[in-house]
Amino acid sequence: MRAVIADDSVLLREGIARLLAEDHIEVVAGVGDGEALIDAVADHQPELAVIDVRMPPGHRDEGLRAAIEIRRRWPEVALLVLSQFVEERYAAELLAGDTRGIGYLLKDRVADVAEFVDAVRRVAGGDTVLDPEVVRQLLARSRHPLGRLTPREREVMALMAEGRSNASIADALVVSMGAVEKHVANIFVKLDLPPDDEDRHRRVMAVVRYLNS
Amino acid sequence: MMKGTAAAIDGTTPKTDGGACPTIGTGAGRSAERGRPPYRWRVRSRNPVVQAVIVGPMSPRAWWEAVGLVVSLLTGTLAFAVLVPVLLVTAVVSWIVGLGTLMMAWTLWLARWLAGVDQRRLRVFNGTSLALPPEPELAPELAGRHRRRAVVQWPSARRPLWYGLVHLPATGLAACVAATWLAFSIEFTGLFIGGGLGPGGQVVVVVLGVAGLLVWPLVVRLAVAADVALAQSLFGASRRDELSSEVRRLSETRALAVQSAEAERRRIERDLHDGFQPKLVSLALELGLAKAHFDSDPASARSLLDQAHREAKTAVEDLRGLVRGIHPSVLDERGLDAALSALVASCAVPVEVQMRLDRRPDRVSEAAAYFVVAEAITNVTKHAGATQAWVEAGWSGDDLRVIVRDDGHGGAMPVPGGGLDGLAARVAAVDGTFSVFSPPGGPTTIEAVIPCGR
Repeated sequence: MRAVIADDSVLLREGIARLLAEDHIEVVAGVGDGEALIDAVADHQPELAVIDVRMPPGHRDEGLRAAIEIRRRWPEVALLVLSQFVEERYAAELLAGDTRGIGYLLKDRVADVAEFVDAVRRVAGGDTVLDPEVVRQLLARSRHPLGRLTPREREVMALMAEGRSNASIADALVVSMGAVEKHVANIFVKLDLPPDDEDRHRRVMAVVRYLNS
Repeated sequence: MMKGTAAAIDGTTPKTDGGACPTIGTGAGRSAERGRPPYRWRVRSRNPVVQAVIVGPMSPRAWWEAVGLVVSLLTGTLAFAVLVPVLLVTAVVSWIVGLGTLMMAWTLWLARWLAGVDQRRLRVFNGTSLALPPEPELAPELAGRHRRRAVVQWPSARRPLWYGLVHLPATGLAACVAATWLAFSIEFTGLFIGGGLGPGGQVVVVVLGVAGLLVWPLVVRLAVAADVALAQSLFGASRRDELSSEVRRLSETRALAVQSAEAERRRIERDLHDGFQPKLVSLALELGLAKAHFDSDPASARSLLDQAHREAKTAVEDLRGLVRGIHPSVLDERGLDAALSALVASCAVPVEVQMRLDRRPDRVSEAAAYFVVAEAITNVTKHAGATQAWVEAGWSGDDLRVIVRDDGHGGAMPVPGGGLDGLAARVAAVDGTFSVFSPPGGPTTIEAVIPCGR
């Protein structure tokens, strides 16, 4: 797999490159700003782009805007957006269109090497991965239709939003698979998600429903 | 008032080689006025009555003021001769053609110009510096007829006109009194010499004549005082004008203070976010990798740990620099001298520090002075291409004065949102003045005067 990394800190860029290299992901370009990122994606056509939200020249949300642009022009490129702070609004903007193969994580998560690499793999594989912190922020706003979820369903929802499978959720909550499936079904009903959709897509929709509620 | 202040600052700053000096000046008018030397007599007496009645009126200064009175008669005549006909024409024109507002605006402009002449006269002869009433503040969208009407209706706009009309009659009266007094005194004394009166009358007349001659300088002085008082009461900025300009100045400096605090917070956030946080994240990443390799590849884990260790040490160093940049604690504990010594010790360019502070300024002024020097020194190292810099701090009356010079290539320009701009706002917030003299080719001098007397 080939990836480009966009981060204005050279130190961090090299660190992430090294991390990905250990997992046999080839880093074909490392860039320091949004425009260079778009050029690099155009040149190299990578499968994955790891992008810092805040980059020169404005040091605001250049990375995020570049990510949205990349999604518009090359929808097949998976995007993992890293940020020093988690902003629910950024997540909502990022997930406004097609949510497949999009991740939004706190930058600190790179320290947990195995989990980070796992997240990278999942995003590259087409999953939507949200930082637990984003999910926590979302759940803190107990507004309709979130208010209709029971506390347990919220927990399940949170883990689901992180992109976990039912089995993984069952492990995390120390409950049976059957219980998790029941909760997930309840969540879909409460969030008015049509039952005929493909399961994985419905899970993502649930997250998006949260973000846009 | 603000413009005048900037000029005054230029005059008090050390010499720089001419050329186009980009200068910014901000700050209070008051400090500039305080800088003017007090009015002094050449001959002095400890007794205030003797001083006021006898010594004062006979001093060279008083004679110079008497000359001023004659000049005042001339300028008064000029104003009267110009304004009376112009007003008459204005009255006629406004009745007949309806151009009243236009003519009146023009007349007011003329009266203001004439008052400007008297303003200069009073400064030259009487050492009195009067501000003309402030220019009308008009909304920029006002134009043409509406603009002229607003000018004419502006409360203080007519005062120079009144002065122009009253000046000649009032000063003329005062001068007449003084001249008549002198004429009678000479006449009476002369009568004694000529022997035109009887012996009984002679004594009284001579006493009157001589007394009149002796008191005459005092009379002249009173006439001068009346002339100055008239000008002060009529065309000088009124108390209300002064207050409103003070309010304006205060709200401007307050806005600057808020802005500079905001910019400062943003700078700190940015330093932490872009400078410090990535280092910590990278450190955590290396430790994470080292942990992952710990069992499988100890050699690689060790080299990762080495690198992480080095990075942790740099991060601590960086954090120290950041904290010092926010507010050095030694400044509070040991004062400006200690804080500046520490600051210049870590500077790449040699800096000579001269402190002439026999007493400690208040904390706020001290901090302002410190950050002026810190920013200036940063600029010297980063941009000036200098081989030496000098820092001076000292008292100038109640004002704390800080000067930073370098021998670099100059051309420093304050850009909005930049360091120098932030400093100007920071100094203005404590009612101080801040100037940058940096002609292309150098050298650069940065000066801040921070009033501590209030």
